Amino acid sequence: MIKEFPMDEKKIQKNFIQQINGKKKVQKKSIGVYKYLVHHSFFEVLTNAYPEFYTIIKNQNLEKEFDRSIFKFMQKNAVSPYIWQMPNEYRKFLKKSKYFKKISYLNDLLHFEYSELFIFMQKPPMAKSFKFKVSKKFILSPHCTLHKYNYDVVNKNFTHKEDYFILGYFDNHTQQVVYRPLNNLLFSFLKTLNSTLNLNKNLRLFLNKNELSFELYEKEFKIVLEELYIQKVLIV
Amino acid sequence: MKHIKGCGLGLRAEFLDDIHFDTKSFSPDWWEVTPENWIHMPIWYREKFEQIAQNTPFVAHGVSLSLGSNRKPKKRYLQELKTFLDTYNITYYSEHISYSSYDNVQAHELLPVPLTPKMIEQMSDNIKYVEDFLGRGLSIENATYYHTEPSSLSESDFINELLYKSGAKLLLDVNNVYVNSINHSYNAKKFIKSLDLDKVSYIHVAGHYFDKEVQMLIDSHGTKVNYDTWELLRYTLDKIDISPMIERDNNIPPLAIMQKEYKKMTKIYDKRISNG
Repeated sequence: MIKEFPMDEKKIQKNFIQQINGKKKVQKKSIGVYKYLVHHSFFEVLTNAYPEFYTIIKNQNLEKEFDRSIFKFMQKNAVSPYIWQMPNEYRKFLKKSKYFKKISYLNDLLHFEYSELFIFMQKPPMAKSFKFKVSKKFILSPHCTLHKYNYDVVNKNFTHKEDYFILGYFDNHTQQVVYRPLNNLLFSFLKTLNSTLNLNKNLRLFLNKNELSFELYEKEFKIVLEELYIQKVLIV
Repeated sequence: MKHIKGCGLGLRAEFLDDIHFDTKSFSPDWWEVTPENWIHMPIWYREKFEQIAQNTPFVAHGVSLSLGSNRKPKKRYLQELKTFLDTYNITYYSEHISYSSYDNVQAHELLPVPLTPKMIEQMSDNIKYVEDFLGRGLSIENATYYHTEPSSLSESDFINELLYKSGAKLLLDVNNVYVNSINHSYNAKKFIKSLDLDKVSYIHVAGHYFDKEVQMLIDSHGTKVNYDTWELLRYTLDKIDISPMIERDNNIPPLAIMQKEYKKMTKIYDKRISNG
């Protein structure tokens, strides 16, 4: 039997959520159970996705700041229904937040650690197999990341600041993610690759724009691009 | 919606290497899959997952639709979900009587809803919206709760009214009934009796443990199924002829261990047939 009972459900839910995410003080022990459960699941996901980051947190006694950042993150920034995407949402949140500002390489480290998971979680491309030709149109496989880092994240060397152009891709042979340093030129070319033009046209436009001789660079580029095609980094 | 046949088991990534397709190997009658865990799956799981889908029927059980939320589920997610269900020919899809996001921010946990007529309206609207989008009927599961929000209805009245208003089926989790009955001091059998059992689509069982610190049973899905939950399953199967399945989400043991639990469940299930 339904009784009349005036109450504001939205207010009740909002109040509950705010106690769980640390915006309000927990008023009942039973709500504290949920605060613990939710925080615990965020903590587990983040520390599993970012083992190197968490080691640094522990070594530098930053656990309390880490906890505070998780609660703040929970308040607005976790929006994906997929838990595996949560670490990337946390990285983006940290980038704009006041947390861990002393760790200058933080965003680089989190981006790098997440990139492996990101690559693994992509749907395998329906790559057609044929002899490599520059007259074909190519795109970058979703199974790769192309990113400019400020620190040598691959070797976990965070003492020296410099530009590092890194291509990460899924190696079908080893079934692992491989990270390959690129020079600035190749990195920029791959970044600006236009899928509506064939590779040759792309190369001409790119070299022309950068005032570089096609005759001089063509051969060098083609060798590397064919290699990337064999690795399925470039796909049709 | 026709009834699911036989007994089920939750498919977990940890089992994949131990699943084989010869006649001697263990396979449940059907696997329950959580779409959020498989819509995007690591590349090395994909081939095996496809093979399993070709050999054994799937039933889907979601965790993030947040039917008790103030916002409707996002269309983008629903489209991915629909594609997944269509791809693997999944007819049965279930969710929870709870919410896991508010103002589109995820808590990634099943939270208790206020048991009120207004919440029934809100959830019914969300259920119908999801059913229309997916082109499938929905089952909704009675969830565990460790905190009771201000409410004007009893839990069973709320569930029955929600089933009536929304037209959804009930995924009856007997472990959740047991956990709630201890934590909130009521009679589990009476509670089950008070539900509209004609609307049950299938049954969940899982493990729980007693947490000394909070002095409550916690629905952890991280231990073997407890004696009291098996007893409640027996009691329920005496009343309705419905398929059960085992959920295990934490401390996941090898498939061989789950096979033993599955056999135990099958015995209980088969006995209900011989009694019937």
